[in-house]
Amino acid sequence: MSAAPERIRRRSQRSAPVNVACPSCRTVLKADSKWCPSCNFTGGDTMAMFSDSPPPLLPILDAMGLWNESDIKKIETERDSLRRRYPQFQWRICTVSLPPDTQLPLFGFWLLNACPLHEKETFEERAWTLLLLIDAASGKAAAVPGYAAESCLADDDWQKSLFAMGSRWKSGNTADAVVEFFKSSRSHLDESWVRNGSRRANK
Amino acid sequence: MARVVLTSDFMIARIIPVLFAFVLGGLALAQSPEAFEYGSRPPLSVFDPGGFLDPAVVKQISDPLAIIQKNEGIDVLVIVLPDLENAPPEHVARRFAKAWCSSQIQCVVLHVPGRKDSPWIVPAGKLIDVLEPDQVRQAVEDGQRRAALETKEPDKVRAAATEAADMLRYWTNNVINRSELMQTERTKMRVQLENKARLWRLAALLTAAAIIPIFAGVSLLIFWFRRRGPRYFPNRAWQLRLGAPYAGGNHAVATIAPPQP
Repeated sequence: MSAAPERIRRRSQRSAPVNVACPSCRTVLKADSKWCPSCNFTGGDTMAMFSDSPPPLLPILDAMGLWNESDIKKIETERDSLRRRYPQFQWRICTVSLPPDTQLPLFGFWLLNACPLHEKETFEERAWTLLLLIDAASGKAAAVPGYAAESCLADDDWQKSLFAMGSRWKSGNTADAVVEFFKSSRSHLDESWVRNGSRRANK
Repeated sequence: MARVVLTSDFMIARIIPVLFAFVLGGLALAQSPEAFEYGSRPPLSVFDPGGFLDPAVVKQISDPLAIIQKNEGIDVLVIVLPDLENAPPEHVARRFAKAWCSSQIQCVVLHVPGRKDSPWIVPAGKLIDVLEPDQVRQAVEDGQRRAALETKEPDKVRAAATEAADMLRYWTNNVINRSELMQTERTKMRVQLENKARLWRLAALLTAAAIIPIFAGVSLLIFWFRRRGPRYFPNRAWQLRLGAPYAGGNHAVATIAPPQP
């Protein structure tokens, strides 16, 4: 894994009041841990786990081919609406079918860090990215936020948004399930935005 | 003593009638206008002291003028004088008009037998005051010219009298029509102004009544747009963990469907 430019880390004087945990064993970590003191996990371990060359992290990467054009339009409409409300966030959606022994969060962690920035994507935008990763085989979904995005919403809130997908997904309306995820995320972000001190301009 | 009293009573009795007569005479002089040398107006509209016109012609001229005067209040006086004694005809005519005409619409046709520029038509009165002088002059000249076309002098006088009467009737009707037209226009304008004023009052009332809901609407709109506007989270510092450049591994996982077989 490559190091992020210093300028990103110095963007603000305020520190992030967020709990951080090891993506492998969920042990609580210090904000600047180089490895997990419990399982010795580092980011580099994922490079060995997923040795394939990662694809560009497109806004919607439907590797499982779940959605037709109409579905994608529906998802994009809801995503664009949320993006107008919270312009800082970059939303990435990826459907995969992973082998049974693969840990979905670790795969998401690898995707978010290892996927090269596409042409117009900046470091900061990647840090503001929320990756919604759906494993069709296991029936699991993961929300993996970048460094900047993780300070806005706690993992529990992301999990509630994931649960909101459940009923639609089970009934086969997978695109509607993603729309529900966005709606729920919007609701939680609204609450968090009020808690964090609302601002109308990006300073 | 008694003699003195008797003398003084006698003097008073003699002086009082003299004073009384003097005062009455003064009053009479003060109240009566300067005497007109031709006396008071004759019963007919034609004054011909020299008897230039035949009585039949006088009747032919004066009868229609009398009817016009009676019905329309237009007073046309025909004066035939043997000589003006170098006085301007207009001056002489106006003196007759002033002395004998009581109507505000009046005209004197003055004729001096033997004079080629006679008869003269001299309109006067308040009607003339409201007309354009050029218009009056032009009409008078035209009337005199038409009258002069007659070969016999009595006919000229009669033609001039007819021209004068027609001229005054025409002007009178014109003035009345114009007055009515102006009255109508004034009424129309007043109605229009009243309508406009009513509309303005209504508009002002509606504006005043609409200000509150408009203000409320605009406020709601601003509030709505602000609610729908973009929101930003504070940019917080982060530190790289686990050697990862963009994400530190925080995540949420949920089972949303049973695993596929």
